[in-house]
Amino acid sequence: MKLLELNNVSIDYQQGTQKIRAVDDVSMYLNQGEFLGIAGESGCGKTTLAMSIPKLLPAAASISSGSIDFAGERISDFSEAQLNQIRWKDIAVVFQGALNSLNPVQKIVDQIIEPIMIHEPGISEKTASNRAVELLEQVGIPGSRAEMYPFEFSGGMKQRVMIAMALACKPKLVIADEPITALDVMTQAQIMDLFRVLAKDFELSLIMISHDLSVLAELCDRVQVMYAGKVAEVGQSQTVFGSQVGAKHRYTQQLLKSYPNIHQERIFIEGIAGYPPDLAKVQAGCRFAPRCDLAIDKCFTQEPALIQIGNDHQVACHLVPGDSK
Amino acid sequence: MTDMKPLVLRVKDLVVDYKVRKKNGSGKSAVHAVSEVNLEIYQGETLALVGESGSGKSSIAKAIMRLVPISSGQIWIGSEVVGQVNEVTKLTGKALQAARRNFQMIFQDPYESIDPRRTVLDTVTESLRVAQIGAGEKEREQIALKALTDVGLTPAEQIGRRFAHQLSGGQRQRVAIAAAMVVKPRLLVADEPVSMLDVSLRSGILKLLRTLSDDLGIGTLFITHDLSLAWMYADEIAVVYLGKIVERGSAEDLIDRPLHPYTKALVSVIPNPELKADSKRTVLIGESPDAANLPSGCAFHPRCPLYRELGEPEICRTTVPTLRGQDYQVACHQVNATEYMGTNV
Repeated sequence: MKLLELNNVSIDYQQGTQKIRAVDDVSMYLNQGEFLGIAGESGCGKTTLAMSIPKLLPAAASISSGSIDFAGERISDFSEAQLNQIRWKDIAVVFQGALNSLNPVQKIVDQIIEPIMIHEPGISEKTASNRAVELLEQVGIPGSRAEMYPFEFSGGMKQRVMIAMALACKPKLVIADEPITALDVMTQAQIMDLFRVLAKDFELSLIMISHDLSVLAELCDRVQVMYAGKVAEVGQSQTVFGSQVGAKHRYTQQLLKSYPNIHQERIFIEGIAGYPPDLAKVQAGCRFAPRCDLAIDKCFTQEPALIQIGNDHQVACHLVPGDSK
Repeated sequence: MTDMKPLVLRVKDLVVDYKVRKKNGSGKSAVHAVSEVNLEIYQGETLALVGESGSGKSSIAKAIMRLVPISSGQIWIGSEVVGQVNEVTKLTGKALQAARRNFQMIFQDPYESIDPRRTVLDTVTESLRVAQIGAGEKEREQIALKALTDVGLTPAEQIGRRFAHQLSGGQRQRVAIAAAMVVKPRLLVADEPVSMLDVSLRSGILKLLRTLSDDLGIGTLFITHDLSLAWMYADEIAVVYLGKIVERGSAEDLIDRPLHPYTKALVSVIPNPELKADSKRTVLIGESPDAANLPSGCAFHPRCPLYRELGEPEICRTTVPTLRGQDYQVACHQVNATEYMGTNV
């Protein structure tokens, strides 16, 4: 069952007199209970796209076209008051770098109670407090530490607190923006395990944003790769990263070769020549064409559409034949 | 294998203690950030120091660079005379300044390490001035322009006039590399040189470092938290836990057949894009203890899966394990490096 569906969403940033299209005509969906990973380099629009769902965009940004449906409702038409009803209660966010945004002079438990008290008026502080302690234990923090302050917590524990806060009102959807990027390797592994456990306990649906494809491949059911505001490739993780089908878009392929892989031959990582385009000056054709070693003439004149190439696998590339039956 | 190459770095029994205020406010106590570390790097080779934050890997690097006080131990660095190492442990003032041309460092965040008020060209010529290279400003400019071209910042005259804020992250790191390499050091310390860059740009920077190091015969100390990057880039890896090297060996051996339980766990959690996480992962419980409160015996024992598996042997709690072995070393009471096949110990 589809929990979330975006259709032809475009998002513009007003910069002076200029409009810059950060997300261009993106359609995507998320099934109930599914983990979706959104990957791409800085500036590709992954965070803008995800934050458009609860409309938590910066003031200069606005959704200029398209629709967003969530749990059967067209939330892109919601007023600010209506959105406030579903933010945190139904759609919670773990912001990037949020582990540093805990209030340093407030006890951990009080910071978790706050969203509960706001969204569930009439709940007693005692009940909310008990729930907060329970949540902390579910994310692996002993309840005895609930009365402590953020400075007494390590980075990994603070990130667990942020996750507990996101889960406080039992949301249907959690959006996590680079939730493990700033953490140590072993702590990353712990947090990934935590998401797996919570998936079962909370019937969690998750959108996880990361620049690290291998992390998404391990954790997510599906992965969506973005480039310069557009979806380059999307599919089941096993399809895109597995050895049977594999990544089809040249960008995804080259991104994968940009990471050392200890399970393969020890070779120097390849990287991608050039830089992502300036979104203020988007050229005709495929946005990746100037960096693509396989580009043909057509790639510079005609923009490729995102087409179905296999079971739940879509690619936007002229060189990849479609699923023409 | 390494016998023929000249040594560019030797570190003997390095100890770095930081003084911190006691929790109860009564005086100060010492935190052992680095304890008895020994290292050698030969010309043209790269040793990666890998560890989590707080492991002490950056303290080791800073001590070698003489940026933090050394509590005890000795450091020798290759000199202008190939094959000759000079002790730098106790150098101060002008003598230290002069010796610095032989050991240079690049940092994780080039925006913080490049003076925002200097032009790119001035950043590189300043490096030459400090090292007293070049007969005059004219000559230094010529050398600097060539250095900028060598790191791919072309046209050098044009980019040389820019300031740091007018460059991309990748370009800034290239400026930092040019400023470090232009004095032809014997040793380069690279502290997370690509971790702030987008993945597609990392290869370009690393290939540049590799090419310049090979051309100039530089030895590299590569600091990273990323074990797979260390495996790809370095010849040797040393894994650091709470200020101590717990395992050291060739990059391939260490990843293919790690011996120390800590290294084993680190290798097991490296994400594999080709398959979903399986049961072979060893996710350690808890976090590294505070360096101010080191556990007794082996500092890793409270988190060690092998310690629990073996029924909590007493020696792990009571005795600090020494780093044993020759070409391949491991510091664990329960693992014998001499049993490691394929190396001459």
